Amino acid sequence: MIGTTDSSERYLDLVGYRVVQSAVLVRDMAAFALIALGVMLTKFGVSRKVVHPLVLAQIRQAGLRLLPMTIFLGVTLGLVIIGQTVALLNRVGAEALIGSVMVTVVMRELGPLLTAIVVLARAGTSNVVELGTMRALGEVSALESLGIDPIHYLVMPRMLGLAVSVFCLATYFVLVAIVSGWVFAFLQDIPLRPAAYFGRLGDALHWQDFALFGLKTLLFGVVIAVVSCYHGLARPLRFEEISAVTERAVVEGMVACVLLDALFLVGYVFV
Amino acid sequence: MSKAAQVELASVDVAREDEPDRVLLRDVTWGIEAGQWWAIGGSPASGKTALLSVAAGLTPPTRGVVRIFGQDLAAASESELALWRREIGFVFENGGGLLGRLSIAENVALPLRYHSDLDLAQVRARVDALLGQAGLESLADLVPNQLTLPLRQRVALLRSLTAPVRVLFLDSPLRGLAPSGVRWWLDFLRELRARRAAEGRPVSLIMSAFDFRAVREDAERFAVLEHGRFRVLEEAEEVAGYREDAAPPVQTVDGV
Repeated sequence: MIGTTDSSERYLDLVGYRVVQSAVLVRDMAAFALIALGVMLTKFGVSRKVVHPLVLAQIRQAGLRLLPMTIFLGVTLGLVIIGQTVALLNRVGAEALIGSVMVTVVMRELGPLLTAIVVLARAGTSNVVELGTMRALGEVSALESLGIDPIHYLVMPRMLGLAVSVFCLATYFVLVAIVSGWVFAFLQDIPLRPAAYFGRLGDALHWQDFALFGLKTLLFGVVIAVVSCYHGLARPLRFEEISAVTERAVVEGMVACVLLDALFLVGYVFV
Repeated sequence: MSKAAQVELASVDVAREDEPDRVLLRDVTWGIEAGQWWAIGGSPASGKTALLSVAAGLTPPTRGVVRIFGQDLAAASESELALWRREIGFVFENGGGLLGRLSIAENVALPLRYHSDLDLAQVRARVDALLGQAGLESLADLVPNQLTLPLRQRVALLRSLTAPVRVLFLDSPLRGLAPSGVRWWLDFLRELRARRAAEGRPVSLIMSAFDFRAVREDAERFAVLEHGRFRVLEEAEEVAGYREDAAPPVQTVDGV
C-alpha cells in the first residue's frame, strides 16, 4: 500500500512539475514576444538599410520558396476533400450548402492551419537550427558586443517575414483549393456551373471572414516566429542541444497554432 | 582623459553565462585605466573568457558592481548600454564570432552599416582600407568558414575597430599561433595603441593568455587567475616567473 501511495504521489509531483514548467515556458515565451514586439515598434525605422532587406530575404525564404509545395497541397486537398464534399452535397441535393461548407472548411480552418504547419515544418525548424547554431558559435554575443540588438537584427525580420509569408501562402492555398475542388466536381460530371459554384461561395463570405483570415494567418506567422526564435536564441545553447530544441519548437509551435486556431472559434461565432 | 578607471569591477563574482550557479572567480576587484595594456593569465577553464565578458558588460556579474566609464552597469539605461557597446570592443576567441552567412567584407561592414548612414561606396572604402591595413584584402569575398580560426579572429579585430572603441578586450588572440602570427598581432596592437595615443584618444587593451611569454615586453599590467581568485602581479620577477617553463595547454574547443 505504501508503495502505491508513494508512486501515486510521485506521479502527482511529476504532473505538477510539468504543469508548472509549462506555465513558466508560456510566461517566458510571452515575455519574449512582448520584448520582440516592443523592439519592432521602437526600432522599426532604425538601420533600415540593413534590417529591411533581411525582412525581404525571410519572405523569399519562408514564403516564395514554399509556394510550390503549398500550391501542390492546395491542389491535392482541393481535389480530394473539397471535390468529394461537393460531389456528396450534390448527390443529397444540398448544393445550397456548398458555399458555407467551403468557406468554413477551406478559408477558416484548413487553409490557415495547414499553411501554418507547412511553414512551421520548413521555415520554423530552419530558424531554430540557424539561430541555435549562431548562439552556440557565439555569433549572437558578438552581435551584442557590436551594439547590434539580436532581437532587432534576427527576430524582427523573421516575425515580419513569417507573418507576411503565412498570409500570402494561405491566400494562394485557399484560391487553389477552391478552383481544384470545382475541377474535381467537373471531372465527375456534376452539373455545377462555375458561375453557380463561385456565386454560392460569394454569398457565404462576409467581410469578417476576410478580416479574420488576415488576422489569423498573420498571427500564425508571428507565433511560429516567436516559438522558433525563442528556442534558438533565448537561452545559451550548446551544439548538442540544438536537435532537441528543434523538436521541442516544432511540437510547441504546433500546439500554439492549434490553440490560436481554437481561440478564433470565438471570433467566428459572431460572424 | 581622466585618470579614473574606464572599467571598474568591485567585489565581483564571475560565472559563465550558461552556468550562473557555478562561480569561477570570487571577489574580483580590478580597475582598467585609459590606455593601459593588460595581460590576464590563467589555465584553461580558469574563467578568463567569463571575466572578460563580465568586465566588458556582456554578462551580468553574479555579485558585485561593474562600473563602465564611471557608471554602474546594472543601473544603465538601454541607450547608455548601446553607446558603451560601441566604445567597448570585444574580440571573441574561436574565430571571433563572425557571422557565417556573411562574407568577410560584409562582416567587417556590418557594424558600420548598422550604426551609420554611410552609403555603400563609403562603407566599402572603409572596409577595404581596414582589410588592407591587416593584409587581408584578398579574403574580402570569402565566407568565414573558408578561413582558419586565427584568421577569423583577425577579421573580428578589424570588425571591432569599425567602432570608436576606447577599451578593447581580446580573448586569447595568441592561442596556438605560430611565431609569425604572434608577431602580427603584437605589431598590429602596438601600432594601433601608438596611433590612438598620438591622436589623443587612447585605447586600453585587455588580452587573455595562457602565459606571458609573448606579451611581457608589450603589456604594462599583469594579472593571473588562480584558485578562483584574481590577482594582480606587482613585481616584474613574478611576471617573469609565471609559467615560464610550463608546456602550452591542451586546447579546448569550447574555449573556456
